[in-house]
Amino acid sequence: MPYPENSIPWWKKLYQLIPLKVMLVLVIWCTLVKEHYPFSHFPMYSKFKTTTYYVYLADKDNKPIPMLKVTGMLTSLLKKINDHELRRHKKQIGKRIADFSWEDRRGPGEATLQFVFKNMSSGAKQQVAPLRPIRLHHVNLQLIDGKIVETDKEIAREEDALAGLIRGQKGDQP
Amino acid sequence: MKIKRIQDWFPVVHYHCWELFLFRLFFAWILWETIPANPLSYDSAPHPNGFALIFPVAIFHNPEVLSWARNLALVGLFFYVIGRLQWLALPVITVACLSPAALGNSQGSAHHNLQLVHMALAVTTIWYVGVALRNLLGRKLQVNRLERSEALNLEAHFIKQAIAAGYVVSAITKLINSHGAWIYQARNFGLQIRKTSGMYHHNFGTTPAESVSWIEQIPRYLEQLILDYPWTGSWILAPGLIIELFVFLALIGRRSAFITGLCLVFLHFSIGKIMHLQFRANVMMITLYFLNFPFLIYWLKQHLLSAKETSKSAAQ
Repeated sequence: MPYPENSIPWWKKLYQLIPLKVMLVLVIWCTLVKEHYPFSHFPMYSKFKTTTYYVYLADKDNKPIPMLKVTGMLTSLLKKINDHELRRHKKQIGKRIADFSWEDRRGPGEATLQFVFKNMSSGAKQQVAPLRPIRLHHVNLQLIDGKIVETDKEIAREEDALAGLIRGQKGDQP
Repeated sequence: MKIKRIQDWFPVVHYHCWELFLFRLFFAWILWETIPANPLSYDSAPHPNGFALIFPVAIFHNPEVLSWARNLALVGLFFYVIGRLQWLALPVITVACLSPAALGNSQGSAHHNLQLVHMALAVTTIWYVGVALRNLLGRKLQVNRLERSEALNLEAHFIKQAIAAGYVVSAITKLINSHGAWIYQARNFGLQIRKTSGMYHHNFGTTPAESVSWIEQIPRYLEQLILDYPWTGSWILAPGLIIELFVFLALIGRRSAFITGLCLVFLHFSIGKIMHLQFRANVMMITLYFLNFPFLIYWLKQHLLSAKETSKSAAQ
C-alpha cells in the first residue's frame, strides 16, 4: 500500500466507503448518456400517456400482412423507425408530434416504407411480390372516458415511397 | 464506524472454483448466442449509435467478416472459459458480439433485448484490459496481489453489479420520464396492452380469437380489468418498479440473489405473457448469476447428506 494507514487522503477513504461502485458508475453513466450501445437508460414504457399508436403493413387490398412471416421484420421495429422519422419531421415542421395531422404523418410513413424495402432480404422480397403495392397503416389508440377508441388509417403507399426513394438516390431530395 | 458497515452489506461472494467455471462457461454460451449466424440485412449504419461511433460495424454485413468474427470469438471464448489471457480474448469477443447488435441499433431505432448481456461483457472487458494496462504501466492494482480465484470472484461480482445496474437505471428512467408519477400513470396501462397485443397479432397474422388457451387470453382480461378499474393498473405495475429499483439487494449474498432472481424471472415471465415482450438473454443472465441452480443442487445435497448423517448417528 503506498500510504501508511493513518495518512490515507480523505478522498481515498471516502472512495473506499462507497459500496457497489461498478453499479453506481453504470447507473450514472447510463442515465446521462441515454442510448449509447451497449449502454442504455432503458426508456421503454417509462410513461403511460392516454394516447399511443402502432403501424402495420397491408397488401394491395389493404389486408394486414403477417409482418414477421413475410418480411422477417417485427412491427415493433417498424414503429421504432416510424417514431424516429416522426421526430425528424417534427424538427423540420416545428410542430408537436401529438398535433400532427394525417397529412403530416405521410412523409415519415413513406420513409418507414423505404426502410422496409431497403432492408428486406431477397427471400422476403419474393414473398412480398404478390402482395404489392403495399401500404403502411397507422392505428391510433386513444383512451376516452375509460374506453379505447381505435382509428386505423392508411398513411403511406409503396408507389409514393419508392418514387421518393428514387428521387433521393438521384439527389433531388435531401 | 457506521458508514463502513454500508460497504460491508454487499461483500464479494466467495464462490467455489467449479461455480466460477460454470459461470464463465454459461456466460460464454450466452455471448455466443448473441452473435448472429447470418449477416444482418443492414449494409450501413445511417444513424451510428454507441459502439458504432468508434468501430465500423457495417463491415459485419459482409458474410466473410461475420464468419471470421465468429471463429475468432469462439477461440476467444475458449480462453475466457479456461480463465487465461482474458485481457486479449475479451476485446475480440466484445467486437464480435457488439458489432452486429450495434449495427442493428444504428438504423434509427433502439432495441433492448441484448443490452444487459453486452453491458456485462463491456464491464468485464474494461476491467481485465484496465488491469493489464495498469500492470504494463507498472502501477499494480491491489487485485493483482490477490489470488487468481479472488480475481475471478470479483469478475462475477462486477457482472452481477452490471445486471443490477440495468434494472436500477430502468426504474430511475421511469421515475424521471413520468415526473415521479409512473405508478399513477399505470392507470393507462390497458392502452399499452391493446397496442402490444395488436402489434403481436400483426407479426403473425393472427387475431385474438376466443378459442385460444386461457393463458393467451390473459392480456385481454387484464386490459378489460384495468379499463373498468384503472387503479388496478397501479397495483399490478407497482411491484415491478419496486423490484427493479431494489435489484441491487441481490448483491447482499447468495440468498438475497436467489430471492431477487426469482422476482425478476417472474417479472419477465409476466411481461412476456401480458405484453408479448421477451427478454430471453436477461432471463438467462439472471438464472446464471442470481439463481445459480448448480449451487442450489449442491447445497441441497450437502444438507440432505448432513441430515442423513445426523439421523444415523442419533440411531447409533
